[in-house]
Amino acid sequence: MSSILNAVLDLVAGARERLRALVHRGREERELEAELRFHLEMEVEKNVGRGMSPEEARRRALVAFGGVERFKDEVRDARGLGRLEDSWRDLRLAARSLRRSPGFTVVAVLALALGIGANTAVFSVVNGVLLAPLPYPDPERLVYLGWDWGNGDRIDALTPLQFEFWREQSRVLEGAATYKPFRADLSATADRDEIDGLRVSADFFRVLGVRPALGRAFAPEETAPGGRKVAVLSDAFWRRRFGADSAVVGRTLRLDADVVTIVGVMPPHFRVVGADESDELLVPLQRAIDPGDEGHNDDVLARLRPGVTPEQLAADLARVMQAFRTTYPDLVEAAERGIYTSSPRDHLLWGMQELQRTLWILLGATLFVLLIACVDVANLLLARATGRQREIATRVALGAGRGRIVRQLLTESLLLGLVAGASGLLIGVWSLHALLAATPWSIPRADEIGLDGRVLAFTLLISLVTAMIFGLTSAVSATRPDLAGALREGGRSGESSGRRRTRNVFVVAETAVSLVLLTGAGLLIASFGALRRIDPGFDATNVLTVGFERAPDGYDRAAQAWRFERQALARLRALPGVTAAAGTSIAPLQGQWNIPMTVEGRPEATRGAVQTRAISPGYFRTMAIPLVRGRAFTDADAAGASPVIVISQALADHFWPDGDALGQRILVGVFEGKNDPEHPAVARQVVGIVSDTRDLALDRAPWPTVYLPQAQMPDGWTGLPSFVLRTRGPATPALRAAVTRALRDVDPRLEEPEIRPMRELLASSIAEQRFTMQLMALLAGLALSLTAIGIYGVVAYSVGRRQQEIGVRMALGAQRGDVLRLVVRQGMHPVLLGLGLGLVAAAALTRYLASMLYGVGARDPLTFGGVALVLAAVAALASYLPARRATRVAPIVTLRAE
Amino acid sequence: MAHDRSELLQGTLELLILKTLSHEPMHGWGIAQRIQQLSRDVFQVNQGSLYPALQRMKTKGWLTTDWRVTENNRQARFYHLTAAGHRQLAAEREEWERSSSAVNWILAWTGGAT
Repeated sequence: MSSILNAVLDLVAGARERLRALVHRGREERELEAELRFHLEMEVEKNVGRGMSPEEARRRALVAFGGVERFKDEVRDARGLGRLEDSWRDLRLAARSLRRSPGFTVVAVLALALGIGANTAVFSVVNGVLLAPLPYPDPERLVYLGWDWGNGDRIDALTPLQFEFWREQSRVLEGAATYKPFRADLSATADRDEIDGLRVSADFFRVLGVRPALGRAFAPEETAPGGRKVAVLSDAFWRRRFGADSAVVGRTLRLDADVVTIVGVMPPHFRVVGADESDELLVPLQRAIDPGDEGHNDDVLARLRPGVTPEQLAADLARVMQAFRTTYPDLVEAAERGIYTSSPRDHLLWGMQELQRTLWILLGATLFVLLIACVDVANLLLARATGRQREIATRVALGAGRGRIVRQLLTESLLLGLVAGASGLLIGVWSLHALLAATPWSIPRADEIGLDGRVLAFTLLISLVTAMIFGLTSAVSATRPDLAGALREGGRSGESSGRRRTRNVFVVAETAVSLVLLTGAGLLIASFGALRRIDPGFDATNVLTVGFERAPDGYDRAAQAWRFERQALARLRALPGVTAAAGTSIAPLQGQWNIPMTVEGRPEATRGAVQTRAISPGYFRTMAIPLVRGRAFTDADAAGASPVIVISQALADHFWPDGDALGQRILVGVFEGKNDPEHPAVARQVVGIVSDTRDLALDRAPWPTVYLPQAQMPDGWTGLPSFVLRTRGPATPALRAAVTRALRDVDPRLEEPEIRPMRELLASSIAEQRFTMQLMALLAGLALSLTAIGIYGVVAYSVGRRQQEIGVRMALGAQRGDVLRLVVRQGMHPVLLGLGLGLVAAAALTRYLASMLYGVGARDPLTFGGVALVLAAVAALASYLPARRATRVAPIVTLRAE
Repeated sequence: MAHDRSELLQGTLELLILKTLSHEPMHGWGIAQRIQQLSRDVFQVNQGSLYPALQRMKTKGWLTTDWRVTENNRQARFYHLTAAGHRQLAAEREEWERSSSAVNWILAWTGGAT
């Protein structure tokens, strides 16, 4: 017992002593000096007492004393504070030494800050999009459910029947919920005041783990069909509309034709991730399940019970699948089909694999740039340390340990790293804003992207790690013990071969990394060029598309849609400057509508998703899509006439690889023998085949397409049509105004149409590739400049050190050209090695780019050769400039300088 | 950090310092002289080991210091043993005796079973 107490007391005493030492650091130092001086004097006195002369006595005493500096260090270390105090002193020393060479400091900080800033910006996006968990309690227990067709196809959604079945039968799910965006009018007047809301199913609040801050969530009977009309408001909507009135619960709201009672208000910052444009207002999803509804349209978010393992989850889902087959044998679900789960992140990025890939590639590229900056700074530091060789050698001779010196050099690097990190953070914030403003992607949760703890930690980490890398490599190399030599020579001319090797390794490394980046950028540029040269299959010049964001009521009735289209076309074709016009269900490049189809009499000839376009006569002529066989639609293909269809070449090749599609009949809407009960399909005769078009996006292979006459569309399959116009020359503002007027004359309820040139749509359909290409080109340019600076620095430095040798050579009659060649050749030596290594590394790494490339191989020899040549040329220039300067100095000057 | 020469002696040096100070407070030079004298010049205490050891022991709370005037009228730092220092001396002395007698038994062994 007492021994523990004593140990504690000792500990306290020790801590107090340490604290005292910290507080009285200055005094401790002075006292140590005084104590040592006293010791020395006593020693001298003793020696004098033995009969020595005072001088001899003092000399002996000093010799006996040994290296003062070193053992002062040891006393400081023993004080327990040594390190801390040393660090403080090192820091001040480092700051002073950096201030003394502002040129070096600015270049180093700038190079690093650019690298760190780029990394911070890209990592912020990666963090926000790919890493940050959902903003709900226990986000790791949230999963999305999806349907696996068993043939490699998956859809991240369930049918209403499946959703309800798994919700009820699963034993590992605490709950499962779905949500559906809707838009409703709050005003009940002609001036619509629209709000975007979500209909949410019963378990919604329980699954998210978020309760209303005010009032209550929905009661079970309110989420059943025919339940009371209630609503929960978002905090923002509550503040905007009700001035944050705490008595809002119980008040009512008009939603279209309904009167809805407000029962609760969500907490601030609550959002439904994945539907955040629509989370202003939540109402219960009150629907009866229709087993015939086989559309996979429910996003199903589920919460696992605590402690459920992936194996338990899989087993439970399979068990319920068995029960599902038994309960609904008529749904004949093939054995390989079943439920799968995906993480919320994968669900939100569904269909955005390209974005994910791009982000990781960009992060890799920015890390490469940072690596190059790091090597540059290591090089600068090494050159600096060589310049300080005498200082270092003197300190070592006075007894300072090598570790001590390395520590001080490292402190300088760390300080440099931290200053660069802080500047990099600023650059990062700025470039993040620029990046988000310029990105053509609709990035999920973009508003959540910003600096959080993780981003700050990342920035700090890369700053420290880079500082350690460049600090350690240069410090270790600088203090490599060749000190006697350094002192003797006075640090004059020539450089130790070890240090020159380090320097060359740096050049090899940055050349190699730079080449990898340049190759990546080069491939993306080549790919983008190939994309732009693609023939879309139609003539986009002087074509305008006209479309609307929202449709007034009534256009789901086919007759009204067709009547509008006919009248509108008559007016549009009459406008001056318009040479052709046609209607289409969706404007090209602005969306896709797929329905299934089956060839009549060939049940096996069936396809789930065929692009379907309802068009007016004149569409192919307006778009200049070549007719391959048969005929286009005419006014004779009217509502009562025999049903016809035109198909694309790709579809004809798919179903009739050797036969003739003309005259065959197609059932549009039938899939695997199942018909749409509301719209039983009619057989349509193929009357024409047109060539394929890339009317989804320039980079997407033509999708098998069927064209139907708008006049023959059934009710429910139509909407407000869009138009394509071919004009005589570029569209003028007057023409645009005339188009708007013409359409509003036909239906005054129409809002302002969106009129866009087809060329612009084509360009924006490859905007993502353009953006990635530009970013990579920017990073590669940065890498190239940093590498050039690095090579220039190395050659300039080594030429400076060899000025004497060059002088002697020239004095002995060497020609300037010979010397130039010598210097450039030696400078290019590590560059060529780096190019070789870089080509190998690039060949290994560019396969990660392969899926992003169009019309160019991941190992395109032309690109590889081209960038290697560019880099070699830049490197040669970077070596040549300092070499030329060196040969311009008169030999006699350099010889005298020694 | 290297403690080269002192490393071997470190434990013993601390014991000797504790013992030296158990009679009276002394300054560093005095401690070195006393140890050298008592060991009949077998131990030459190096300053490079002495002062770091004193600092270490002070940090552990075994010693305290104050500045006093020496007999020949100089300012010197004097080291005192604390209560913890006295306990440490007892403990280290016991340990030393145990291990040195163990070494002696081994050295006294003349072969054969014991």
